[in-house]
Parts: sequence; structure tokens; C-alpha cells
Amino acid sequence: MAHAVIGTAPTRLGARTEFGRRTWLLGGAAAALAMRGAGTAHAQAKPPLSVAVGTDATTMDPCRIAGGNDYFFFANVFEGLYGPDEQGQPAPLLAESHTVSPDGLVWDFTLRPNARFHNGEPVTADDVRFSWQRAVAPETRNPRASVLVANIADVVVLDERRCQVRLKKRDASFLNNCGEYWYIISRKHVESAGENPFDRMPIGTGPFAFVERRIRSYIKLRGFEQHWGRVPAFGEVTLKIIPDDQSRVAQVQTGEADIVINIPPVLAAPLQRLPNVQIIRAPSFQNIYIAINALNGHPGLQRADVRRALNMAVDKQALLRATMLGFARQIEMPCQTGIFGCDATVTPYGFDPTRAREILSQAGFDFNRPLRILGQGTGRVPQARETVQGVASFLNRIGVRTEITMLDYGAWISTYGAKEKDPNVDLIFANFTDYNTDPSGRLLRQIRSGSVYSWYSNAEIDAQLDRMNDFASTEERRKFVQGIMAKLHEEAPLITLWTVDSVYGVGRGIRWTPTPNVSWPVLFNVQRA
Amino acid sequence: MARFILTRLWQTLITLLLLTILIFILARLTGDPTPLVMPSEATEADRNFFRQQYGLDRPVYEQYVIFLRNVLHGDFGISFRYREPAFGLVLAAIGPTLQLAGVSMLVAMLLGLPLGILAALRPGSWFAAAVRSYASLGQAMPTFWTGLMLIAAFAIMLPVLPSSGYGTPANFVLPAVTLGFYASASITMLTWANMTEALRSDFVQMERVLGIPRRLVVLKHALRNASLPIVTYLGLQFGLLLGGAVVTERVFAWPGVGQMLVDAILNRDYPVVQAAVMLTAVLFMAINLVVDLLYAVLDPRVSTP
Repeated sequence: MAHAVIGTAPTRLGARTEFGRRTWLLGGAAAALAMRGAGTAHAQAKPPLSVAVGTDATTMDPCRIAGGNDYFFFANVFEGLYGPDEQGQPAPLLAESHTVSPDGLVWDFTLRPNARFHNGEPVTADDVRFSWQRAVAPETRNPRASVLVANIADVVVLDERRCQVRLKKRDASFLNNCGEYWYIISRKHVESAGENPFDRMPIGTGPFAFVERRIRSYIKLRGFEQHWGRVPAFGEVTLKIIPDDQSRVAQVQTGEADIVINIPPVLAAPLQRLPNVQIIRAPSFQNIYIAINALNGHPGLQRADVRRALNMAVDKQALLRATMLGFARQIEMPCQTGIFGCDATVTPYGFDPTRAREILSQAGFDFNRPLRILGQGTGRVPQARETVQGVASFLNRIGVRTEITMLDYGAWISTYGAKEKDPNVDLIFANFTDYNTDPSGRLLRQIRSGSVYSWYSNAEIDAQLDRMNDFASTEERRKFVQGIMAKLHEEAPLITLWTVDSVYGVGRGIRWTPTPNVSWPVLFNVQRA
Repeated sequence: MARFILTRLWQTLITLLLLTILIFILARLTGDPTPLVMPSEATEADRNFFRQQYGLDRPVYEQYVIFLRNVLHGDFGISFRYREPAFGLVLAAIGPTLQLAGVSMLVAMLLGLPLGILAALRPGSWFAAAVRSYASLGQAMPTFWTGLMLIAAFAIMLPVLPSSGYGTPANFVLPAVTLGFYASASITMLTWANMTEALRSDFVQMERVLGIPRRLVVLKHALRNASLPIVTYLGLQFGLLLGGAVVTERVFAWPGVGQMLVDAILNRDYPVVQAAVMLTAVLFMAINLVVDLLYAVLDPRVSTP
């Protein structure tokens, strides 16, 4: 393993002297390559940007992404043919345009003429083909191949800038998922860099090029001057890993960081009063809810009317105000505004504890048997403990007894995602983050019978979910998905609660509109005020 | 002396072997790491492959034998989370930890030893009362609170120091003072108590009667006699800082081994847990050995059969 010592940019507290540093990823070579043909001199003339984040990325390899936490890196350094625009909607990125066959199986893409990798090489149709081949190769062990790339039968190179993607079966979520599940990589780089090419030297096409990394400390990027269109206003960008919420917030108060991400509500509220900090909030796709064990938990929970009654028993607005201090938006459906098909017309459950109690009594609900609620310990999701306690309290008010168990994240996710669902759990606090506006990821992993996070089973809904992506017409599909959402609202497999806002602390010298509905910071549009 | 050292080394080896068993079992008691490492999109085949790749599908005793064999070759395996060699990750973290522990101990000694000695020399005075209050405060204040207060005071209100991070001398000040202040409290009380006892001893009284200068009596004779438990405690304290400064490391975003170990436990990253515990244990034992040797030098009766 190679180590390198690379100079640090001066900070606001004065020039700093490096000593005793070991960088885990070879920064020197990466920096040299990234700088070659990347307009380094221009980038160096631009001001630096410092961003404090809570967790480190687990990988630099786009075929080994473990989850949403990794995207603060990938969303800035890599790109797909399509990806989110500034409104969070799918838009052409490396592709300039595309056409699709009437049967939805053949997609022709034309690449942008000025799309380049960070090593200065142009992006070609052969790179697109190679990116698919590597993503599905058994030796890559891409754990997320099943979502998009495994459905590609072939990628045919038509010429230098044009390629044809042939799908095995129609996939209406294809364009949407291109942004997060199929990053385009350089064949030349992978073939010349040897084993683990991205862990050593991640080269993508995004607005920022990788420079250096120290695991659990920082990742340094540099604005990519040759980007096809999203040239950043900043030169060096340091992503500082600051796990503690209060210490991370202090970074923006002291001016050590320009942007601080993931500020919990309890810290965000007082920050709003400070003169040197702006609190910016944007809708995210992180849903908070209570999954109901309709499979093998409390017998009453197998009835849809009982599950609806539980939804009616909880004053979600009051709970949202008390626990999230308003930094969230209540949701009625198992999705939120912005998700395709989530605009179905339904009658809200409403808060009606008297009616909820009546429904439970009529359904013969066993009030003597407590509902066992599994909560998630503090750390990963803001106010997780308080939310569970609040829900339990509302259920208690209609006579439902509850027993709460809090687990650390590891034990919680083992239970939540277990193949065989635990019959000793009736309700489980949960969160699910969509990666884009397409609902299929959420519904197929959270609702469909037998899927990893599903505590519910309904053959009719399963059949609909299996057809959900088999549409060529967007409007037809929208109506179909709206139908599924309406049915799910009726079935109530979850006690839906809210979508958490992404809360950022931003220095007054910065102007930035975070991309809505993307649960990680996309930094190309950050400007000096 | 040679026999003493050999005996201690032998005991250290046995302890390490027992530790490998203990840490191996304890790490696995936290549960299967697969749900934490693999994304929700992973198929059952992917999950099974992960278990197979890291040998997690084998019987535990077989996993232990492989682990022990690899450890003897200096291989602690690949981190599940970062997919880097676990030992390399821990080695990168042990440097910052040793640096912070060293500077913190220096702060603790510079505060604790003089305060303890001076308080012992002035029993019943206002100074002794102030030292007692200082020590009580130091032990009562949790390090996370001290750390946050120092950040508020010296990084936010009076912006003269960085609030967190690692890499420059300025980054050491707040975490080292936080840890040093906490450790100095017990060092103060221990020094005070032992110096009081030493100053009351017959030989010190005799030296005073003989007219030996007070400074010589206190610093050479009384302090030397009082130093045995203090040296032992300093060794233990330093060892504790190696793996136990978790809260301070987190508050100051210090990339040390304590925080890494806690993260690894929470993420069920067995290879990192095993490597971190083994490395800190070896360092802890090495420090104890040095303390024992120092003990033998300070008090020759210790190494005399």
C-alpha cells in the first residue's frame, strides 16, 4: 500500500504545518493524473471550499457502493448517462440525448462531445460498454447489480459517441436509476491502474476530481475545469469527516467549514439566530415510519382496518412539531411529494383517536396483549428514540399497551432486514431513503412480499409491483403507480410519519440552493456570495 | 533482573493468547455483519458470497484457527467496511492516538504532580482547599462536556484555536487539555496522598532534623518514596488513554484508535475490532512492562527473588 504526504491548504486559522500524516489512498498519483489536462492552474486560482460531513465514504469504487452515505462522494465525482438536475429530476448528464424504441427495450444514447474523465480522456461509447461489463462481471461482486445493470442484455458501440443499450425486459425506472446505479468509468484507467483501481485512484467525470483521502479524516477534491457544463466556482474542496453533531456545527460557527451537512433539528433551531450562519433546508427523500408486522406479529395487525386505526391514533403533526421541531414534512403515503406516482388522491387518515379506538374494538383487537415496538438507538436517524416514544404514547391513549425495546443500529437492521421476520416484534421504527424520484426501489424492497424490509404480504399488490416497471408510456405508468399507492394507503402496511428535511448550516459568504429530493450534498452549484 | 524480565514477557505472551480467544468470541457475539455491510439491493447470493469470502460461513473454531494463523503472519484480515487491510487502518489510527495520549499525559503530569506536591506541603491552607476543589471538579466533569465547553470558549467565542480536526500543533491544544485536565485530577490526589505519607515518615523527619535542605528532602527523598504508586498509575492512565479516549476523539474529530474501535464494533467490522484490540493490548502491556521495570529500578526489592 502506498502512502503519500501532500500539503494542506491554508485554513482561516492560518497556514498549517503537516506532520506525521499517512494518507491511505495514494493522493500523489491521483492528484497528478487529475491535474493533467484538468485546468489545474485555473482551479488553483479559485477559492477553496470546506464541507463538514458526518460519516466517511466506505468505498471509492462505484461498483461497491454500500448505501446512501457513500453518495456525498459519488454524486460529486462520478456521473451516469442521466442523473438528477438542479430540481432533482432526471436530466441528461454524460448523454446529450437519447431515443427509445416503441417497445422500450432499445435505448440509443448520444454522448456529449465535450464529456471528459478527470484524467483528460474523452468519454466514449466504448467506456459506456466497459462500465456495464465491469458492473455485471462476477469478479466485481457489485452488490447492487440487480437493480439496473443486470437487466442490460448488451451495450453496442455504434460509433465513438453513440451506443445502444439493449434491455432484457422493459424497465421504466431505467433512466432514473442511471444516475445512482450505473456510473460511467474509464476503460483505460481501470485497465492500467491494476487491482482495486478506484480504491487507489477514483477517476470519474463529475464536477469534482479526487485529489487525496485520509480514511475517517477527510477527502480532498478539486473543481474539474474541463467538465462539460457544471464547472464549480471553487478550486480545492475538503470534505471533513466530523462525526459528532455539535462539533460539526461548531465548524460553521467558527468559519472552519463553509457548509455543514446533516444538522439535527435540536441543533438547527438555535443556529437560525446566529448572524454568521444560514440554515438552509431542502426536502429529502428520507422517510420515517413505523413498519407494522402484518405477517406474524400481534394477530390483530393482519387486518387492514386495524392498521389504519393505528395511523389514525397518532397525531403526526403534533409529534413532528415536538420531536423534529418542524424540520420535516408529514407524509400520508408510503412515499412523499416528488416521488413518481406519489400524487395519488386519497382521503387522509386524519387524527381521530376516538374512531381509532372504536375500529379496534369492532375488530376484536386484543387490548391485553401489548404491541412490542422495536426502536432504533440514537445516532443514525434524528430523534429516533423520541419518535418511538411519542408513537407509543399516542397508542397508549387509545388503550393499546406497548413495550418498547431500543436496539443499536447493527442489531436493529439485522432484525428489520432479517429473512425471517421476528414474531416478537409488532411494530418497528424504520427509515428508508429513495435515491431518486422513481418509486420502484422503495416499493420492491419495502413492500413486496419476501423483500428485505417488507413486514407485509399481499398477492394482489405483489402482482401490481411486478408489473410496475413494464410500461413504455410515462402517463400510463403514472396512473398505474398512483393506483398502487392508493391501494397501499388503504392497506396501511406502515404508520406513515414524515420525510426529514436535509438541514445544512452554511456560512454567510456562501450562496447555495441544495438540490431538492437528493439526500446528499451536490456541490457543483455552490457560489461565493 | 533478566529473570524478572523473562517472567514478565512469558506472562505477556500467555495473556495475549487468551486475549485472542476472548476478543474473537466477543466480536462474533455482536452478530452477523452482513446486513450492515451489504446494501439493501444485494441479493441473497451476494450476501452468501460475502459470508463465504470472509469465512463467516465456517464453524467458529475453524475461523479462530485461521485467524490465529494469519495473526502470526501479521495479517488481521480485510476490513468489512473499508475493504482495506485492518492492521493498516489501525496502524494509521494508532499514531494520532499515541500523540494525543502523550501530550495529554504531559499536560496531566505538569498539572497534577506540582499541585499534589504543593498541597502536601501546605496542609490545611487555602491552597490545599483550592487544589481539592480542582481535583473534584476534574473528576466530576465528563470529558465530552469539558471538550464542548473548551470549543465554545476557545474556538467560537474567542476564535484562537481550531474546534476540531487533526494535523497541526494547534489541533492538539483542546483535546490534550480536555484529557489532561481529567487525568490530572486523580494524579493530583494520588501525589498529594503519597507525598503526605512520605513527608510524615521517620526518615524524612530525621533528614529535617539533620538540617538537609528542604528542597532536597522533598524532591529527592520524599518524592522518590512517594513515586512508586504514582508511576504505576501514570502507566495505567497512559494505557487507558490508548483505547479509552473515545469520547474526546469523537468530539474533536480525532482520527484515533478509540473512535475507530467503537465504530468497528457498531459496524461489526470484526477484523478491525480484532486488530485494534490486539494492538492496543500489546501497547498496554508494553507500557506495563516498562512501568514494572521502572518500579524495579526505583525499588530494588521488587526484582530481588
